[in-house]
Amino acid sequence: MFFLTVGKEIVHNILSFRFVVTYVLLFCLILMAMFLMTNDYQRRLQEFSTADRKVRENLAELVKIEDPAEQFQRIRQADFSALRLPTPLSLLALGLEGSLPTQVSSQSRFFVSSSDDRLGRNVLFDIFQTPDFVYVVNVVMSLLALLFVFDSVCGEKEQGTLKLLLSNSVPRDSVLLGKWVGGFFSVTAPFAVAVLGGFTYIYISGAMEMKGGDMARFGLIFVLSLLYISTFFTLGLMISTLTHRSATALLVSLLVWICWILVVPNLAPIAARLAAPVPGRQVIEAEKQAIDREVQLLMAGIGKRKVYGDQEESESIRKDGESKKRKLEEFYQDKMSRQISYSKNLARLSPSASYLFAATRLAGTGPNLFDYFQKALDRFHQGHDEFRQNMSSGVIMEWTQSGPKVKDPDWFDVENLPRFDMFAESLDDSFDAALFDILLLAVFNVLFFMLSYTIFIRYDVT
Amino acid sequence: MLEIIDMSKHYGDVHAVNNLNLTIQPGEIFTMLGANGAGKTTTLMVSLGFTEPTSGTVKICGIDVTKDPLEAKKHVAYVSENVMLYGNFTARQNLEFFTKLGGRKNVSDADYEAVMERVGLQRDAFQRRLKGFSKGMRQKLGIAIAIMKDAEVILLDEPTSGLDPKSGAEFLQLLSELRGENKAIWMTTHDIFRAKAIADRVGIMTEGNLVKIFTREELEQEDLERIYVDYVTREAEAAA
Repeated sequence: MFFLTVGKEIVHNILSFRFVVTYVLLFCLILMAMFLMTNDYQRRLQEFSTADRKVRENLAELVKIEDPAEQFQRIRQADFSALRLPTPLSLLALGLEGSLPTQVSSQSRFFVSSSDDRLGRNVLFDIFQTPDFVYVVNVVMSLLALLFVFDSVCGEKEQGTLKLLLSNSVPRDSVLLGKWVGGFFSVTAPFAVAVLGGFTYIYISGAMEMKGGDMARFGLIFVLSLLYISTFFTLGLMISTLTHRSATALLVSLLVWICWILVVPNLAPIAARLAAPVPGRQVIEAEKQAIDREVQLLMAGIGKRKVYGDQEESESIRKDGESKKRKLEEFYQDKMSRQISYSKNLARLSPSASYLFAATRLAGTGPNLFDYFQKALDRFHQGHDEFRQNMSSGVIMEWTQSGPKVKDPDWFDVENLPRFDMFAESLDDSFDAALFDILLLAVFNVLFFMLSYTIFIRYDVT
Repeated sequence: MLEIIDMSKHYGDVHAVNNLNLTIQPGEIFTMLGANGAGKTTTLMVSLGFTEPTSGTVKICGIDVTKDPLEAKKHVAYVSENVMLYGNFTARQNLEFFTKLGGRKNVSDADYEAVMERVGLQRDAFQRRLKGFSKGMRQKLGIAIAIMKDAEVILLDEPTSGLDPKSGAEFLQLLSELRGENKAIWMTTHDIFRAKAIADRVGIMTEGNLVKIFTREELEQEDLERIYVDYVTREAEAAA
């Protein structure tokens, strides 16, 4: 009975007009998304290569300088740039990839981007969302899943076929499960074909070097997408069992879709900002400056009291000031972390947010990318600060009667320059981090199916 | 055999069916007449296990429908007023699906073709999608599904309403043949003439009560139309 109802659902769906529309739409959308994002990734990769070549040329010029003193001066004044390699799987889920700088400077704390920066490209890209694979699944597939299933039960009741179906010796759980399996297969089959087409395009075009880890991540994102589609499909089935008219079911489905896709994820950060306010960055910086001024005043006070100053007291005041600034920074970071955490948890009321968090995490373009970038930048600046301190400390240069002299002419080695190395999260770690959201989607699925089952067992077919 | 024993169905204060007792024997056609809301369809819905009776029992071939609906449904076929099937499927696909759902196995192509011919569906209709079928054709396909199920009890809910005279006559002829195959047939209708033409017994239902049952012999002697109109008029007056 179960397989009979599954087969009926599949054939019934395949013969329907909406299947044809879905198939064509998905094929076009997913292939287009893959094509556009592949081109975008190739462009970013090209820019990276160009910038990298330029950085290497600059370094080679410094190495070539024959006069050690001049070389020393030039290196001391030089601004070393470092580049961030585009994340390969950003072509599936762009995430924060487009928001982070591609190039950083050793001297400036401000980020420097390549030609990808806001002023160097079409600003309309910032107005419209990037139509990557995850976007298509998040917005289009969720809607299509609902449109496929919203009348699965109530539509059959309205049509009269449900009465005839259940006048036979067929258990209701078999009917419901058959509808779920058959319907889900009907939705995901064209999706899988379209993804396979997109994957083939990426593979053939050679845009992305598919390593084992990337393949596994690709596969995981695909499975995650199926889980997400299934969430909306099961929700649609539940709505269908809750209602008795397909028009009502359609309306309810659309309302839920709007809330979950458009309202909750967009309102969550705003609600979190109200629930857990964070003082502005400028306020914190102003307070830090006030602490600095206070320290300077206290230092000046010591100078007035004691002619030769008081080294111990000065050090104590300086440390006290540093401690206050550190606490202020910790307070800010703590508040910000709490707000981000509130935003995330509120957004997770919608499966859309869970899907986006998990997909971007698996693709390596999630919110953690920002943390990794920040840490890498801090390490990079710290390394360059130490490098410059070494240059000034006399280890490399000594002062002679004839002027400054470099102790070791071969002191400069490009390989020893501090690097901008971002932490590359392993697949296991990414999966562990995404697991909570994956489980949340699974819980949504189980919950909706259980509710559908409970309602359908008592569903009035008359 | 269909047995309805002391069956009542109430929806709050509304008594849709009151203490109904009825037995339909194999090889018998029982036709139930009644105005809209008389309780005919409610009785059918209880008999199909779609809704539970407030009290009493309905048995199909000795199986209590409330206690073991799945087992009871193996022995009953249902044809509604408007046979609605899957519009995207062809007549043949619909027939095959519902035949398999009815539990029949090893059904050959010849069996399907034979039943389609028996109910009067033209050969070219086999592969046509249901979307283009007239009501008469859908009713014929509905009875074909019931025949293929080979159930002992057949429940028909106003199956001839809206059919043209020729299709109606063909439909009754099919029912007559099924009676010959020892099926117990219950049919609700508003059509007094068709009820009289085909039924072995005719019941009149008003306000949830089975008020009168006519046998074949009584039908030939009594003016069924006058009696039915009297009951319906009395019911309307009581309601007013």
